[in-house]
Amino acid sequence: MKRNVLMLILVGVCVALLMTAAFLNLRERRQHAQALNPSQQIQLVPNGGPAPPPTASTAAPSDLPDQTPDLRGKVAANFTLKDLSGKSVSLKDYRGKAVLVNFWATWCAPCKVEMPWFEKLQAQYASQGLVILGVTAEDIPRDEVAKSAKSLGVDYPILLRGDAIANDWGGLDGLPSSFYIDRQGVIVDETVGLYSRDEVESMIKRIVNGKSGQPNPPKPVASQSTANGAPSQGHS
Amino acid sequence: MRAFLLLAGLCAALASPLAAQSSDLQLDGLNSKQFVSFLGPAAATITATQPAALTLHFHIADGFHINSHTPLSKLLIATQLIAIEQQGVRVTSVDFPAGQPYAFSFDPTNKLDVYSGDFTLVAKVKIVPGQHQFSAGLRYQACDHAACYPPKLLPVVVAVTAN
Repeated sequence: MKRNVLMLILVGVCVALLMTAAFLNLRERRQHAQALNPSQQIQLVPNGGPAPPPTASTAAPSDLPDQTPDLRGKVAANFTLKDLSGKSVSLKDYRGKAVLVNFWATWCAPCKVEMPWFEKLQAQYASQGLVILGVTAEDIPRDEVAKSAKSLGVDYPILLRGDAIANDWGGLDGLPSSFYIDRQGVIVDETVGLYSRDEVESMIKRIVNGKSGQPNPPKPVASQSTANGAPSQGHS
Repeated sequence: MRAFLLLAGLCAALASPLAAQSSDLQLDGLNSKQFVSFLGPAAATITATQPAALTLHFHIADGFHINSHTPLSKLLIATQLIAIEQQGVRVTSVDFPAGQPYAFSFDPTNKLDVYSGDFTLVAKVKIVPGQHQFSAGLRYQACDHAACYPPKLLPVVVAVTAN
C-alpha cells in the first residue's frame, strides 16, 4: 500500500515535470518566432546614404508606425541625475526657464552633429532664459563622457545615466532624442533623430517665447529636400 | 522496486533537458525591436570532432545599417557574435565579412564601416558526435539616416547534428 502511494506521487511529479518542459518549450518557440516576425520589427524607413532606394511602402511619413510615445503637452517628468562633477541636478530646479533636454550617447553619430549647435544656441539664448541639459543615455564611465563632450566643445551641463530614466521619457529608443520644455515645465516639442539647425532654433524660440508647437511638423535633417529619405520615428 | 527505479530514472532524464532549456532562455527578453533578423539555417549537419564551419545568414532591415566587426572609431559598437558555452560544442573562431564604407548625408567627411542588407558570418566549430544546439547572440548597434538605436542582442540558434 505504502509502495503504491509512493509510485503515485512519483508519477505525479513526472507528469508535472513533463508539463513544465512542454510549457517552457512552447514559450521559447513563441518568443523566437516573435523575434523573427517582421510585423514586430520597427517600421522600415529609407536611408539617406547609398543604401536601397525608397519604396512605395516607406515613402509617406504618415505610414510609419510611430512607436515613440507622444509626450507633447504633458508636464516633463522630473529627474535627478549627477553631472560630470558629481553634483546632483534636478529638472525641477529649472522651473521658470525654457529647457532643452537632449539625450545622446557616445556611439551616436547624429548626436555629435547637433551638440556643437546646442553650445552656440545656449550662448545665444541664455539671456532669454534658455537652459540646455545634455543627458547621456548609456552606462559608461564618467571620464569617457567628459572626454567625448570636451572633444565636441560642449560646455553646457552634461548629466549621466539617462538610461535609468528612459521609461519616463518615452523609452529613448532612438537617439538623439530632444524635449523642448516651456517655462511651466510642459513639453512643447519632441524629436527623435537629427533635425536641421534652423528647425532646432525654431523650437528653441518657441519655448523661449512661450509659443506652442507649430502646425506643420519639421522633419529630420536627412529627410529634407537636400537629402534622400523619410524621417525616422520622430515627431514635433 | 524495479518500477520505482525506472520512474526515478525517467524523472532524472526529464530534469536535464529542463536545465539546458533555461540556459537557452538567457538571451530572451533582449530581442525586442530588432533591426536584424537571423535567416538561418535552423538546422545543420556536420562531421563530428573535425573542424567544421557553420554559415549563418542575417538580414538588416531596409534603410538601416549596423557597424561592421571593425568600425573605424573605438567609440562605435562593433558587431560581435557571442557564443553560449555548451557541452560538446566548441567555437574556435568567427569570420566576419569586410564592411562597406558609409557616411551620413549630414556628415559626409566622417567615414564609417558598416553592414547593410544581407550579410553572412562563419562560425568555426568543433563538435562531439550527437545532437546539439548551437546558441549565440549577435550584438549590434543600428542607425538609420538620422538616428541611432541602442545596442541589441539577437538570438541565434541552430540545431546541429554531428555525425
